[in-house]
Amino acid sequence: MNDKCFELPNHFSRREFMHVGFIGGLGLTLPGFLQMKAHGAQKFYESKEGPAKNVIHIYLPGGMAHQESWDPKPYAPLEYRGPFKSIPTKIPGVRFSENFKHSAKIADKITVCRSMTHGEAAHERGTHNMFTGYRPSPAVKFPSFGAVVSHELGSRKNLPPYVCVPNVPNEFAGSGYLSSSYGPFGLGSDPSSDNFKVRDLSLPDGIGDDRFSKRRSLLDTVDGHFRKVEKSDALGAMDKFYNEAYSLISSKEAREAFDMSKESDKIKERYGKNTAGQRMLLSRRLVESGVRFVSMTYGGWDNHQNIEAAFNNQGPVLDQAFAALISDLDERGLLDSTLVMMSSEFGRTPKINKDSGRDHYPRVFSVVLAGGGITRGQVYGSSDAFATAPEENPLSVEDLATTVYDRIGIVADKELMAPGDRPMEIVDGGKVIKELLA
Amino acid sequence: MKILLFLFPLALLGNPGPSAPAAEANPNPAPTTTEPKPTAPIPPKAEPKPSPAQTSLTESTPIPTADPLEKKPAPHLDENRTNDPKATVGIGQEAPTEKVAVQPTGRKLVRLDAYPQLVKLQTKEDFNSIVVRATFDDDVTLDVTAESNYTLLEKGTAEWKNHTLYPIKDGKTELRVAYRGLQKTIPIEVVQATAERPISFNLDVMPVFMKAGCNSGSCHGSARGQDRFMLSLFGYDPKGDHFRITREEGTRRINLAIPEESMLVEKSIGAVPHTGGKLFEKGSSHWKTLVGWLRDGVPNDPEDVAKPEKIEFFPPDALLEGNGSTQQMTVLAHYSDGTTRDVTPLTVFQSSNDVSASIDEKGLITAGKRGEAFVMARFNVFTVGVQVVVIPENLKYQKPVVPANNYIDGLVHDKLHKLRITPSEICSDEVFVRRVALDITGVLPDRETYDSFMADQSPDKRAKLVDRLLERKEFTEMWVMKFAELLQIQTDDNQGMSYKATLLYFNWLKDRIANNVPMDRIVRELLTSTGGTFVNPSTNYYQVERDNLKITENVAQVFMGMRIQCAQCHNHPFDQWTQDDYYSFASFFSQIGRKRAADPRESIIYNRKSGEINHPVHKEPMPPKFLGGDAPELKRGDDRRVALANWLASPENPFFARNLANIVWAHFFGQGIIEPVDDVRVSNPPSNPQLLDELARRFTEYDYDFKKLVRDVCNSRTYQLSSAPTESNKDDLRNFARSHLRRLRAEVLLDVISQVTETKNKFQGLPLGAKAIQIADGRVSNYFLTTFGRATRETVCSCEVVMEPSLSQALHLLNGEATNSRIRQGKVVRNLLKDGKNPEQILDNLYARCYSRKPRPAERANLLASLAGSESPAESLEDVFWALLNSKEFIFNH
Repeated sequence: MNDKCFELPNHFSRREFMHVGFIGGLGLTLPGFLQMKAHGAQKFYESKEGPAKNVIHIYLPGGMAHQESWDPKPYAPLEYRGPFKSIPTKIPGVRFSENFKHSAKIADKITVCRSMTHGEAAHERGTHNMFTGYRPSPAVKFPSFGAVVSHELGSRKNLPPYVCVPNVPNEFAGSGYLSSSYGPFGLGSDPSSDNFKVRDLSLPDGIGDDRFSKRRSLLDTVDGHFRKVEKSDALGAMDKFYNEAYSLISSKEAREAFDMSKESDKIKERYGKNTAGQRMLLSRRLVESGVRFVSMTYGGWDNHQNIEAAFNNQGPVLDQAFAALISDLDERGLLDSTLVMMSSEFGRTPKINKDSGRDHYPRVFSVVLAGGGITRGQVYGSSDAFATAPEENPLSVEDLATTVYDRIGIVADKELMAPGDRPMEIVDGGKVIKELLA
Repeated sequence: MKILLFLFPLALLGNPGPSAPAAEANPNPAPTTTEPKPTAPIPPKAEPKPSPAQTSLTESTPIPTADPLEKKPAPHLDENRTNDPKATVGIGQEAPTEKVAVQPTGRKLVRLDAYPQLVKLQTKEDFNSIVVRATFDDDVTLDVTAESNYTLLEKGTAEWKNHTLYPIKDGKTELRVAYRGLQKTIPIEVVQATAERPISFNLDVMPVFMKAGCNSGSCHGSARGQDRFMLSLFGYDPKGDHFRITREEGTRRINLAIPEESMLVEKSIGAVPHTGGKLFEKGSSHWKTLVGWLRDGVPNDPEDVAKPEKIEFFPPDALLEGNGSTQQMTVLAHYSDGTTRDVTPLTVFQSSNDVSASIDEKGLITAGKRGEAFVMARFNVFTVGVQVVVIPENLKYQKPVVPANNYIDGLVHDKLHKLRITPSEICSDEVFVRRVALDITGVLPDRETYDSFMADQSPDKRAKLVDRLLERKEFTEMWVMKFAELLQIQTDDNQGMSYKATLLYFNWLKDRIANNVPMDRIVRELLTSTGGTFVNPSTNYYQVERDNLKITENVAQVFMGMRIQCAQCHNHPFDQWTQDDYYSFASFFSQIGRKRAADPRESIIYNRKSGEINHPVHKEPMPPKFLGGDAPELKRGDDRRVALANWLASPENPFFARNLANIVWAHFFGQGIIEPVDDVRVSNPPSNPQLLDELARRFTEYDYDFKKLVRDVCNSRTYQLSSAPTESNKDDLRNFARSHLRRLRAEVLLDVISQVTETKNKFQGLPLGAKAIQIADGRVSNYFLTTFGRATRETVCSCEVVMEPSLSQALHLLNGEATNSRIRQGKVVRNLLKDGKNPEQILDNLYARCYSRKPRPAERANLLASLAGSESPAESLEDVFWALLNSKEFIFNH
């Protein structure tokens, strides 16, 4: 029983390597430690690629109103219904807000979850939920979806496994208690800008391939002695990233993943020549090239005031880009292997407030899923008549996360080791929602 | 310290005599020998004096060795021994058991200890197990419980059976323990020998839930419980647990008519299906406790039931030789009514490293592979641990003769000797000048410093260099930056931290550190500050963070090195802190008042003289009590923070000096003696407690003068070790047996790149050419600093400074402007060429610049060869420069 309650580490990260060093003090060899851990009672499941070989997480910071998008309430009184009309979609009987007319036409390819629910009405806490699958804890920093995927599945085709477009969006998108080597690669530049270029990806002006290889050999020369006499974990980790950088720099294919000029004007226009469109287009390029998990953000959805103007402004742009992404992926045969998730930290209050806006509301809101082994053309769960609470099949943060992980090929019940030898489930107590699985 | 000692063995014990208190400061008392050990010369100061820091996390059990000069001879004891032959013959003569005791040969027995030192037996069912441990002159310890001879003086008072004492009738007696010529006596007191003790829910039943694991986080202690039954995690809420067992879901969990058939009992013995499986046997002592309590009608305890006040875990350390050697442990609990109990069977044991030393549920440690383990005992809310070192049998090791520069080296060498590790050699002057300049000033040694140091022939040139560097303003800047991180100095308009307030706050801090104001005064000023955030900038401490629970946690983390966040919601699972401790500490911050000043950017911090934070379990405020200390007397309206600050930044707080000393240590060694520095807890012990205690003691003695402590550290041989490993220390990471590589932190790396490329930075609010370590506002950053893991100052966590590499860092150094543009802009190579220097001279210059050394002949030859055919020498030399900037020898301090 005690074994069960003081479990031993069962996986391995760089940070823990230091810890092994500590508990080992000396003489404890790595294989010995691993063997020891293999017998621990930490819950272990092997991760292997599932139907969702790639993930694009579209995050809408601020808390997008469900009423003005995926879950309109056309029969509710005006103060609940809001300023917009609703339109029919490809799914019989299902309506979206009028700003989402492109999405309405591809509704048969996506699944709208209208019963998402949690209890965190503050931006950072809600964001934490939606990026990690956990409620915030004062003691533990949880890893984000992307970091867990990076940890469990590693990189592919010379590309970093977890990329954020355009930047790491918030503090919860990082590697949490896992080593930072599983953290995201932030582009540091917006693909919608004319001179979009991922920082430091290509050789600087005036340095050709020849000169670069000469430089590398000089680097080997000056580094040679030090490398020979010094052995350290930190050196190994740095070498790992230098090697990743070399393969990225030297692999034309890998670098081209970030090269928007390879996309035709026509397709750029199809997605929309704006931040939403170009970020989604780049996300598609990245997963197509080998990135496992792309996390991208668009807009500001914290519409406490004048929600009508906000949605007139951002809604159609998002709609066009999203619909283009889904159909483009489908046309390329990538939709079935690419899970697209569109989420936000929470929804917004049922009733329009005195400033013609809506306030934070986590009790019920909508999340859209598509592809990667998720059903096509479904509405999962529902909110009540005034969008105040889930009516059918409430979808918890844990269940959503567990389902997404399941599609990626990761059992969310698996335990990773948090500081203090504290095994933590990737998601604590969620279940796979069978109705969402294709 | 109630202990009786035989006088007779004292002569053999080689008693430390007047220095007896030294053992107290020293949780792992070094064995005393009859002959001087061939140890490394240790300066006389190395002997630790009793220090306030002694009440360390690792519950130390000083071996009370009485002074032979003071101790009256006790001839009657000897007489008794000789006059009572039947006692000697009659009892205790146990043949060595089947357990194979490793009998160290060729070494001298120097010490015998018997635990506990005093046994009190009260009520019929009481018992106390005894553990005897021998120590040899090479520090190896041996469990000789089975091999010792025992003599019980008054046989009718207590019974001695299986190395355990049981009460017979009231009275006093002694157990005498003898092993190979050494003896120990344990006084025994028996009271209420025939009285029954009613089974107590708190004292008997709750410990069963802990021992059996019922209330652990993965079982019913989980926040939602397990299978619809919840117990408070590690028993933080006994009242609630009593209710849940006896009243929740009706009374289905208990059956008072047939106690044995209660669900509570049947589940735990596996008589009915139980997700957690079978936890103990029917008829076992745990079973009897539960059934007895049910038979008594599930009483809850009266309010005044005795509380455990501390536990002791014996023996206090172990150095086991050989795979398979064992050491039995015993745990003694002390209660508020003055009674003690042997709670070994109710204690949860855990080892930090089962490969080296595992511990079973009965408290038996078994040595495994060579290494170190920290073995912990958890009972009630107490966790204590002991350090166990395991060395192989027949190890070829001779204690090396290593010089010690100061007290630090003596203490480091003592620990290394226990581990049978030989430290590395001292580093070369070239390595030293670079290392110490980077660590003290955050920049590479300039040409003048380098040349004059290398030319200096005096034997104390390293100490002189340290002194010179400590006078540089960069030393102040380095520590201002580090404290600005801990104080989270940054503008945040949402939090009401205007740019003006930020600057004032930063300048306040800079002024204090630049003037070498003692750390205790700075901290007191900070924590007791009142007034406007502009007028009295230290008040910004309460503006940067306005959540009083967060402030509580930050104070504990920054000034005591402890993360008490867990205890906000339940007893800390890895430490001694209870939820009560947390809220008692939080009460010091419950009366902070904040209001707007006339200037909308300014706030006023004042004592509100009222306001409480309620404990979430019983919804009542807790009276203010120091974390790990007493409750101060406070009158209504007193500023509670004043009482707190006076205690916090004083020698009475055992954590304050230790924490700062550890932070200093970590800066110069890349890791703390406790690592991470702000995660001090029982289950994360210091790698060398004696060293940390001594540093803390000195720091207190130096009146909290940072510079003096830094000087000690930099002058130690330990700091000046080479990074080249020896055969015995190559796997060691935690005992400072050699120098370890450390990547330069973001600010220092950028400053150093600017220094060697002769380029300037521009940061918001600072003049062109300012250094990154001078940045006042945590919000000010640039791509380089962010990418290389500069602290955002959003939390107080030491983990904010990210030293881990990333892909972006590698790309930036390979392709980015930090190297490429700066080499071009600084024109270092081109200027040298213009000055008529030849490639060889330029190589020397670049090497001195970046590495503080000359190129090795092979390096020079290879580089010159690659330059030979070059069309553009400038370009080629700049490529060498680029390679140097990308090399690990440059990026790491070594």
